Amino acid sequence: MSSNGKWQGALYGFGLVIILWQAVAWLLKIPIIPTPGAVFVNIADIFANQMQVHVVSSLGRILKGIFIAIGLGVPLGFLMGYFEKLDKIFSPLVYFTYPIPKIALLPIVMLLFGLGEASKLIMIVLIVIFQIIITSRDAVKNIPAQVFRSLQSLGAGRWQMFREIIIPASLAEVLTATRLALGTAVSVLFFTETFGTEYGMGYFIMDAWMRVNYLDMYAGIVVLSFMGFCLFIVVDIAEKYYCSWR
Amino acid sequence: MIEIKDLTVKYLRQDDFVLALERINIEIPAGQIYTFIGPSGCGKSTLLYVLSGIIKDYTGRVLINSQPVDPKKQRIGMIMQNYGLMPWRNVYQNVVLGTKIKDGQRRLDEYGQYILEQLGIDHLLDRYPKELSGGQQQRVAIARSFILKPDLLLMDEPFSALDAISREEMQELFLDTWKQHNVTTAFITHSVDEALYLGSKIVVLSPAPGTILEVIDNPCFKMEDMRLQDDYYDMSARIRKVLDKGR
Ligand SMILES: Nc1ncnc2c1ncn2[C@@H]1O[C@H](COP(=O)(O)OP(=O)(O)O)[C@@H](O)[C@H]1O
Ligand SMILES: [Mg+2]
Repeated sequence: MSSNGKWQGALYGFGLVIILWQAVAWLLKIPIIPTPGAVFVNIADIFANQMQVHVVSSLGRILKGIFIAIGLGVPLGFLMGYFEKLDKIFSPLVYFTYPIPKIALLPIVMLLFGLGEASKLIMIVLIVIFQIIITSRDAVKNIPAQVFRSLQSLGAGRWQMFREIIIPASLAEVLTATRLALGTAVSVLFFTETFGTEYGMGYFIMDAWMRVNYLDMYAGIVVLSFMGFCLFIVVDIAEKYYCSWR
Repeated sequence: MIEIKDLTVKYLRQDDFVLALERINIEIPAGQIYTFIGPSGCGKSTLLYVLSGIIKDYTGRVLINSQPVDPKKQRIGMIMQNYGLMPWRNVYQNVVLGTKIKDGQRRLDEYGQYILEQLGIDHLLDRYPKELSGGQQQRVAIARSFILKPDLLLMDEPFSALDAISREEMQELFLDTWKQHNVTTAFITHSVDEALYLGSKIVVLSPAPGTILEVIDNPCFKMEDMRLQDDYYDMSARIRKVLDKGR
């Protein structure tokens, strides 16, 4: 899709959601569904002095979690894709643990690492890293042998193979996996932020709910969604920049 | 000069093996271009993989300028059937890839510029391979190998994916470029016509496992209007006969 078409699509989707929301709010006229206008006014009122800290801590957790998952997952996936032996050792482990709903491990992680930051990061990493490992590994495996041969005949070493072939060839898939991981990370984050912290969008939304402040609650949901959307766009731009050869 | 003595190559599989080449003996003198012709599956690509150091597991002796094959030491230009370009690099980056890996030289020198002009791709430098026609991609691959100033040029059916018209055009362009540099070349083909047009000698291989049936001197090499000469027809008939007999 062209970048223009993409933007138009996003704008169209946004408009549609607002119209539907407005319609439902007008039809039902109940306090648990305020109008979008009221929510946006509320966001403008409370963002600077009430929400900002929560946005910053949530964003920090997501970015840290994703960077750790990429930093560990991509190299491991690359090595597994390149060296058959490593793949034989790690693949069964990855496949065995892949379908386990990692969120169910939250109590164990919390018992081991406490209720603080470490547990929250570990949960994000634990949940997104498998997707990243498998995608990186498959991306390397799908590179045609011919491409490697032409570099081999030039006497290229291992590092040159990685730099000239493996990294550029799999960057697109890694970015796609990152985008998926971001979606998952935002959900996991919400869940983990409802325990053991007073900072983060998850906390903010649940707290507003407890206080029966629906305007604040919706403001939190909208801001969290917008945060996810912005992260998506960043990955999109990176993809456009690095993968224009496709 | 390339010396191949008693070269036998097997591909190992789980329990058994495939014999790809059997007791190949041939010498290609420096500055000569030999064409290798044989039916599909007879081990032509395998031979080039040995010469380029991709396959290291073989019996027999293979020397390039009296040295064992080592792509780290020798300068080997390899051109494959599907061009072997990096889809994620543009034409310029693809063309300098050889010298970048060999010498750490990422810039095109005057000679490189000249080769690009000669091959008619100097205006395509910022295109990606997918934005080029098959013939243009092949020119990029040829430019890359020539710019490398190789000791040895290996070409694996480089023109077989092209349509008939661009194929003859590329053959002519390649031969013109080659004549100015006289790189020792092994050129694989399955076309009798191409073997005659490009080879000073023609090596005819048998069906799998590949053995050398005959090495034929080619009077048609560098002949003007080759395809209109009687020699061309006589030689075609002769090569076809050798190929048939080996079947
Ligand atoms: N990796 C491989 N493993 C097993 N057999 C192979 C492999 N590569 C090629 N072969 C076999 O070796 C023979 C020669 O192959 P190749 O050199 O590609 O032939 P050509 O290039 O002349 O068509 C064929 O019979 C082919 O099936
Ligand atoms: Mg072949």
